[in-house]
Amino acid sequence: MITFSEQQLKTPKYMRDVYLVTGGNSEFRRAFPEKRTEELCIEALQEACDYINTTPQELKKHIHSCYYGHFADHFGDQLLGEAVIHDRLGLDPLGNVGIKTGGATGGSTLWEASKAVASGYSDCVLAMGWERMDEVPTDEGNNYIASAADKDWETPLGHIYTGYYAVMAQRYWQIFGKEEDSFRRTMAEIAVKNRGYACHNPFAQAPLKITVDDVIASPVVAFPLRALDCCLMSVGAACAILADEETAYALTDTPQLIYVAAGSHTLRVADRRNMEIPLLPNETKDQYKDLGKEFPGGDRYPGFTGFLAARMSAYYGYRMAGVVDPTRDLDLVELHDAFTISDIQTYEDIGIRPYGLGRTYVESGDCYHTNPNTKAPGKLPANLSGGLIGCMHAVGATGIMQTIECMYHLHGRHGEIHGDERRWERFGKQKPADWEDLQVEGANRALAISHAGVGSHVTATIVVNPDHRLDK
Amino acid sequence: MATKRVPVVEGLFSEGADGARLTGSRCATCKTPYFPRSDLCHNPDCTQSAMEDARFGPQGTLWSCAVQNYPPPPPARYDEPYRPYALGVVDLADGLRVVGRMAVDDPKHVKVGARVELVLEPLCREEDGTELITWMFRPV
Ligand SMILES: [Zn+2]
Repeated sequence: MITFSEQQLKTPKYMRDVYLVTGGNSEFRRAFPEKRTEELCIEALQEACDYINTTPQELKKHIHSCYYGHFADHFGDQLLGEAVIHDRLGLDPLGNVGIKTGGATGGSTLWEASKAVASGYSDCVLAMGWERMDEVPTDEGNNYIASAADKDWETPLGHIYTGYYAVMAQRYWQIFGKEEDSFRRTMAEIAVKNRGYACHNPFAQAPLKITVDDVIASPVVAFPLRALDCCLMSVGAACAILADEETAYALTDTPQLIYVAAGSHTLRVADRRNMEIPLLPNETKDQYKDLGKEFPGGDRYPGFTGFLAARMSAYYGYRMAGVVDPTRDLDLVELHDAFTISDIQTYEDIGIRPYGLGRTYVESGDCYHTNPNTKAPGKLPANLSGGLIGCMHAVGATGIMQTIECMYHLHGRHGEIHGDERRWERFGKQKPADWEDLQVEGANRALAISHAGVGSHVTATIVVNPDHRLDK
Repeated sequence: MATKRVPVVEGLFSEGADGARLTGSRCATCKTPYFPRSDLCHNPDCTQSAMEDARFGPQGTLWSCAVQNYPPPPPARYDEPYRPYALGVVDLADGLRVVGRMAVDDPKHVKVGARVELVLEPLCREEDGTELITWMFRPV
């Protein structure tokens, strides 16, 4: 059993507070044949400026360094795409750097940007992420995604990403889901919920009203995963402006504290060895003693059925922000629902539920805006944006989009942004007659999880209203 | 004339008088197994990395398994028409956990917990009939 040293488990430290000043998203679609990438980035930046009543010209005067998240250069057939965007935004001669950590690229971009402010290197930075997946056919796109595995020898054998996910999902399904029909239906509930929430989000790519039975009738991708259990592939951009306290309050009256932490695990899942599970503040040492009795085969955990990288990001991030119990201390979460089953696995890694009991977060109704069982507000609503299943997965932008959605709730401006008729019109969409304001009343703290591959990189971004910071 | 058999990727497995084996390495200090070969021991608790060549297999237990219903994207190789296969995760008796295809006719009839053995089987065939060989696991 591998254990971690005290130095490795140190709570990460910012040398000063870091604030989220503003942010914005472009619209997200499967394809934008009529829009160039920089137009999408400018759209996101303009949204961020409008949000605090400023202009790109004015905001740019404050920016001191730039962080760009963009996963697959191949998609746009353009190496150094980050530098191209930097030039087109007119941000030369500021220092800029491209960040690539697969599906977690958006979260990692915020991670790098926050450290630049925390260290004092910059007082104000731009974090911008995007993805362009519409310039290659889907087959070729999948090939690029497969290239994120160990291409030397794994991919020729057909040991690919979705296959790895499937064997992990199978193991979780058999041990913790006990292959129960009820567990399969719980997975489907997530797919129904997130697509349903996307109906109220004008930025979202795939709003859809479906039922649990529709999900269960959709084609099998790799059992038990079906087509409607899987996330989207999108084009779009998202950006955030981070700053120190003085700059943040010069730009807006209501900046929010932001904390970003990261973890990793081996790219090849077969390399994952038996490691200690670092405990979150709401867990106890002997809590998992009998896990193997309750769920036979579930004693060596996590590693292959959970995401150690997610556990590490929460381990660091909760301590940075003072979060003890996520369900009590947070008001909403945006999770990386790449697949419904990986969403359930993540609930356990980040301490929303103990290992083995992830499904109860859905079954209790806690993950809903309004609990369908009690009709009271959900205890910790998840993915009100629609998530990766209903809103988007434009890889480099995803982790930033999630954070911006959290910001809207903390400002009490979710309805203003999502309900604006002009925005629906500008995107060429009809605002639904049954549009609902999904604002979480009185939200002060939120979490976004950004996740790569089969859990190779995960970041936890926590946004906090400074009047409601937690004791550490 | 016998069919020509070549490994789909070089250096990952071999076939000796004692049957099929995966070729990797093991740290002489802490005994951690590595596949494929590693030049450095990754175990943070290991006092000194001392890598030696090692061969793994053939006995193991199936730990998890899933059926790949859709053809994997290139550069993955398979014979047309595509036939779904099972991808297994196997704990070999000598301590290595490894991913590999299952050598079975019906991928749906693979049971987790089953005893399996390492075999070398064709992944696909070239136009001239040459078989591209990879390692697989067959229930015993
Ligand atoms: Zn060693």
